[in-house]
Amino acid sequence: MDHLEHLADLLPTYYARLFPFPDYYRWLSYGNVNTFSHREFSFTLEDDIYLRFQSFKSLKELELEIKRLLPFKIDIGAVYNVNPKDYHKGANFIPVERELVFDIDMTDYDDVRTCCSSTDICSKCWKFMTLACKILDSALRLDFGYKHILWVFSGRRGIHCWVCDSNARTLTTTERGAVAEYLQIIEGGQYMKKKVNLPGDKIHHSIKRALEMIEAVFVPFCVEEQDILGTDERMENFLQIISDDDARQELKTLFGQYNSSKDRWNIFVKYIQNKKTTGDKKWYQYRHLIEEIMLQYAYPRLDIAVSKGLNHLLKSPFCVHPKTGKVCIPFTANTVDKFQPDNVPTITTLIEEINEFDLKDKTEQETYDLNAKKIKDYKKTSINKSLRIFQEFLWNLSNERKDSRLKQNDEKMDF
Amino acid sequence: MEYTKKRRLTIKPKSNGLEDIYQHDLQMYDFPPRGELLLTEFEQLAKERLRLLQHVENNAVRTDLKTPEERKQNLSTALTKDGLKYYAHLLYAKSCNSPTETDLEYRRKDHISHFILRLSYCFESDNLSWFINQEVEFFKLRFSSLDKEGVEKLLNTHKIDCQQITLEEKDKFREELHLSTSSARIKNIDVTEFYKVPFHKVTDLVRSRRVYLNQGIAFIPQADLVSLFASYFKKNLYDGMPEARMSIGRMYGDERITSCLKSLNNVVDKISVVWTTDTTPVDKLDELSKTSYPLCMRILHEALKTHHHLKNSGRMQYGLFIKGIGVTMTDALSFWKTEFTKKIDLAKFDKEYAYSIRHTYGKEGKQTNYTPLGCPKIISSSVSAGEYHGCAFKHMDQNSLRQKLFNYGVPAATINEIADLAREQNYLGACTAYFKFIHKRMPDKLISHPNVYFAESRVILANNATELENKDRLSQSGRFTSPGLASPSIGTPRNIDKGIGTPLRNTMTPKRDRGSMSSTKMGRTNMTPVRTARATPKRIETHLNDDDIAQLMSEDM
Repeated sequence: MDHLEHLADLLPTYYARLFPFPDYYRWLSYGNVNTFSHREFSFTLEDDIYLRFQSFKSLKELELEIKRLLPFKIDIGAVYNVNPKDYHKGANFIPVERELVFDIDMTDYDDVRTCCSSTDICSKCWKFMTLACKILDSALRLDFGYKHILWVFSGRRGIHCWVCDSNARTLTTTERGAVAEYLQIIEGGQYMKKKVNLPGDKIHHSIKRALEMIEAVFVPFCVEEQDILGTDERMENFLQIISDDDARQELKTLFGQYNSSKDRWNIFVKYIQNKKTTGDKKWYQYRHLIEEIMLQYAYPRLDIAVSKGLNHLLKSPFCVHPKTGKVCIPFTANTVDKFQPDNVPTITTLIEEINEFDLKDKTEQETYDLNAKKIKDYKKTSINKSLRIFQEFLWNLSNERKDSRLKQNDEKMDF
Repeated sequence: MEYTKKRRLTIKPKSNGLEDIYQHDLQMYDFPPRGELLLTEFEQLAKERLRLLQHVENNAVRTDLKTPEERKQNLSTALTKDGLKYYAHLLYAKSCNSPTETDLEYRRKDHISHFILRLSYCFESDNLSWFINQEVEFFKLRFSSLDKEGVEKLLNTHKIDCQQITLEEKDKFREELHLSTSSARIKNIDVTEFYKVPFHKVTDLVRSRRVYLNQGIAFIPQADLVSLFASYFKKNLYDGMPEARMSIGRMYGDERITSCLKSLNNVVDKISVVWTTDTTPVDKLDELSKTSYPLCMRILHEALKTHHHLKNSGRMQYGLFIKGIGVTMTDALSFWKTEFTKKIDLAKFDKEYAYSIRHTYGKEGKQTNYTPLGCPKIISSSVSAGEYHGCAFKHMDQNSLRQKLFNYGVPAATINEIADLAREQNYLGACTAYFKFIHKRMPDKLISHPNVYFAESRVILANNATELENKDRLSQSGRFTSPGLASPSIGTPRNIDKGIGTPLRNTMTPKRDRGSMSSTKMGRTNMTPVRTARATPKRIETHLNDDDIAQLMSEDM
């Protein structure tokens, strides 16, 4: 209905010439055929026909089926104890393995972003995603020791994170819940205005690290660009976070004396710091307030239900988003600053690129001939860079598998 | 695990033997008891342990008891009062040295009774998680009584994997250890021992960010070792359940044992939803939300009416509630449709939301007949930006709560009373105070479920209406009660009985009955088919908790 026009016409070419089947298989098998064949895939076909519990014995089978069904959307589920296709109705059907995943969606930022709302995004609010990616990536690596982290653009307005280390894939539901809650600081619904509460006198090292990243950009990004204190309404929202009536009133008066968001923020910081230095009776309730507010405006907002469950589905990398036509491409946390959703290749541009190349290639061949090597299709297009990122990720994974196999062999030799 | 029961007294084992078996006051229950036991003792031990666990549960929900010492004191008093002196003793047992004969006898009772309850609780996932939660809670309290030697001995006996950190490491991470460990746990880093364990062994500390993590290793201070032990203990219990199920299989033939075991977990059939059997028409919901809804549901109803949308968790909480008060599936569909289509078109509604509503009624997907969420579940739910579900007294800040009550016409004094109770985390108290204001009297039953609140309200309003017929209509006042009086019969629960009318239980009870009845016959001929037939359907349930419901409902769409 509101799908990209002609998507159904473009998908055959996309799946035939661009979707990286061999690499995809290499990823999801993790060096073990059963890991692949017990994995649940689910397809959404044109007209919203929804197929759950698909599974495939081999790369070939997956490839054929995808080319046959031409799914508008592919979701990846858990690895089960038995193959999902034949046994999901059975009683003894249990998810045993799944990447630890995180889903960050821009709509969860609607109460703190001012440039866009709901499904819209722009380069200004994309900075929330950039920051979320950096903060999560460093916490997952430094605090939890994970190494194989795949970041994927979700196709429209968010990002997905797939932690693929073997010890992450085997976490239980409780353990996933613990990791997710450790990383979730913002809590509370419509009627909880203050959404971050740091307990005690000290700030946990993980939050401290996040704060350092936030502090570096908070004034230019949140205060100035997002202009969080720029209008009466925004000031009102901000002031609701402060529970004390007197302080709120005083701040409101102070804000009225300044015109820009930045000046108002500075006077707010000064006002709170002053509480501490003058030994205000209530200073304790303000001890972390500046930090708490920065976190509320800029810390990653996670949909942790997705992370907690083993059997939760998540959209696959290299899917084409049916509405934007953008490909869900991987990127890395190191280069996330350069990532712009507007530059993400769409299925339309990719296919044009192939056609152009083919045309050029044909003329060249006619002119010079030669038994020039056939160039892989994706290399002709702007998806090439994302595939390189994916391959490097796979290379690291398989290297680690080799290392651990060698180590095991060594241990065996010792005996 | 072999339980033999004898009607005649067997020779009591010499305490010497017991000393070898029970070397520590605190047990991990990693081996089953052996020997013979009188049936009467079997029953008595089991019932006493059940009472113990119920005391433990009651103790755990007390929000006024802050420190472990207060909790222990309170539990100890309750146990002693209930004639369970030996559990009170074990609660404070320090360690393991030179046990007296009484000590050993207590340890033996502790051991045996635990294993009997395992047999009774190992099958059904609701029961099992209740059992394990109470056992873990009791374990934690007991652990806090151990002296240093006791902790070390426990560490060594069970070969729990944890390594003390070196002085160099302590110096290297001094700042981080200081920042990330709760101040109450470490007065002085230099005199505190720290241990390194994989983070997944101490999920409670990770979850609440009370521990320093580096590369997947948690650095826990001595005072937090209890988390490590508790997680080991918990895993031990879960791992022991298949064995317990096997043992049950072996004694299906004995009706005395099975009926005793069955009677034990029936006591914990405590899901106290009240299902309203009368049909409640949806056009009365506006009115009912003011007269008979608890605040959490009133707010959801209001949010739905205002925004013509509720997010997934809100739809779950409210959708199951109205199912519980007697809204039929057809009515529910049209109710949600009317609201949602004020904002989205019909096709989108049918595509994205209708399925999950039918799912709530058990008509789609796994066809589970979901039960309305109770207060503990609602209180512990997580609420994000733009959401309205949860417990009003927990998930609303003081300003918003006061404002909301004010808008509902609650006078200042009552607002203060309710808001104060909420601040003290006495959510049920706050809810009861709200009930009292609306109905001008206290509820007869403890409010621990939104549907109980509703049922109580309907009973009271129905009685008021009957009285009213006899008296002068004008003698009644109060803007909150009057709309409800116009239709006293709506949603009045006919049965307020616990189990009856609860579809979830209904579907299970016959299954259980059938199982245990046939087991007497089939048990002698062939054990295995019975077991698989009974056990396997439940395996799915162990993977399905309420969170999954929410998930399933969103992903199935």
